[in-house]
Amino acid sequence: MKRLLLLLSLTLSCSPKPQPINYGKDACDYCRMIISDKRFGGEIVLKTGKVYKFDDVGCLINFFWENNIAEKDIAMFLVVDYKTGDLIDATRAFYIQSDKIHSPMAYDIAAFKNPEDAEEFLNKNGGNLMNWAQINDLIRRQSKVR
Amino acid sequence: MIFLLTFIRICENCNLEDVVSNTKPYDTVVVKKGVYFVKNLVIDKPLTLIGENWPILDGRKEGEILIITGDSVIVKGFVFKNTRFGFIKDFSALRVKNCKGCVVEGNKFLNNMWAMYWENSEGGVIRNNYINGGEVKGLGTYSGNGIHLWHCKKILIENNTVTGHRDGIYFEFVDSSTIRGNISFKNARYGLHFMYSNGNEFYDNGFYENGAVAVMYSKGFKIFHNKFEKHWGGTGYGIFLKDVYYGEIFENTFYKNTVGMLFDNANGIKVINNVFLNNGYALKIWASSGNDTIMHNDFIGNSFVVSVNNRFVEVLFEKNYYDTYDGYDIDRDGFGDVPHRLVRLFSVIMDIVPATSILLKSPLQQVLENIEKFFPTIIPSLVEDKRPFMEVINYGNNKGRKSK
Repeated sequence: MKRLLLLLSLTLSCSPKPQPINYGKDACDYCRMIISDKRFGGEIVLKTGKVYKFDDVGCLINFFWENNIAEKDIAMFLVVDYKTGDLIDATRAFYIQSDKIHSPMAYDIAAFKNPEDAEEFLNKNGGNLMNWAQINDLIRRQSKVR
Repeated sequence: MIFLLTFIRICENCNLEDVVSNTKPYDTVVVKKGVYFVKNLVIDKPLTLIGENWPILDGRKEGEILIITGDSVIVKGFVFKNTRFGFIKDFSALRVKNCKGCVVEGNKFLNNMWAMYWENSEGGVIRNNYINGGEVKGLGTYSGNGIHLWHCKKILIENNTVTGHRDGIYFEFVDSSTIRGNISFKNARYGLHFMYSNGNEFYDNGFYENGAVAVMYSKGFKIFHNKFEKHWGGTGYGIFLKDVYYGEIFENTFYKNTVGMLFDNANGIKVINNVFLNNGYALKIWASSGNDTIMHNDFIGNSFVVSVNNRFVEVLFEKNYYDTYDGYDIDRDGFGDVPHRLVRLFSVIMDIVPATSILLKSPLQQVLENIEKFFPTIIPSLVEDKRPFMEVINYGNNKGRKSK
């Protein structure tokens, strides 16, 4: 019985869940830079429990499309909330692209969980408010080298 | 007739803000020794600010210190200290905005979040500054960069010392600039970080004990006469090339790095006359790279010369010296007569199972590698040097050999 419990707990621990980003230590799985800006970043968590970490939401989207990951294999997309630094659901976040934002890979997109925070930022700094589908579209169209 | 009248104003324990507001363009302000509290002081006209006996501009952690928005401003001889640190906003001791021909020379920057932040500027000089971010807080997540350039052109960065910041020198959208004679050490992330920056060159610099030097998303650079030493750790690279095109890297020394150079989608790069001494891997080349030339380099005392992650790598190795080469030179032309296979079996195994690194330099490794040598099956045969040099080329300034 004990063994069964142990086995059970082991299988449970493999269930997909986000990992906190270890700033200053973890490297981005797309651009290989060390992740160090707490306002930006994201994760792709696969159903197998594998976690990919990114320093910029642009890297996350490029990684997803270039590696042909099937959407059914993905447990969650997460991005870092610009205001709080927490990991939030990327597909439901509010995104602002603005030249006032300097993100690590110069995609210059901030993510917000609360629409109020996004609106506050927008009123202060200007920019374009977008959703997940729109920033996917935007980033895939950008070329990476000037 | 036009008389050009300029004034020199002496400021001793004055309110710097008042003095600056009373000046006319092209005046000189001499600031005597003392501690001055300065917060977000804007200089919007051409002025020369000179500090005598290191006057301290103290931000008292309340904001930024100097903000230059005018052209041709000269700042010399000050100590910039204690900007505010922030999570959402970036605070910089000296911010240079939309400036043509500004000169920042011979200053000290201590305990600032950002030391210098240049944006949209052209034709400036940053020379002889000492920049220390203080203790690295939270492994560089909190602190900013030492010399940060964003959307700039034709800037000369010369003889500065940068330590204790996130990135020592940071370039984003910077073209046609020169970095020379600087020392960047013990920065939390990168000694030098280059992004989307084309046509720059850096030479005669020393980079020690940073995370790496990163050159990313850039075209047309020249990197020469630099030293890259002791970049240790899982992400420790002498130079880290990512999505770059057409660069020349020559006459540098790579000493005791975990990886001397990493090629990740690096195309058309020429690596010539460098010395790779006592690194873990001298080179790591990923299959996305192509058209690179590695020529006339010395590989001495590295655990591995090169590791590749694919059987086919479009990189030409030619006429390098390897201390691991055990071929012979019967026709006495200075080159080995049999090709030197560069990828060792164990680096392939270690890429698949990193834990096998525990068997490095064990008899088992030697047995396996000798078997592989006689019956090559696993390692990519394409990565080889057909004519390796028999003698050291560059190390110890053995310069007579270079021309061969």
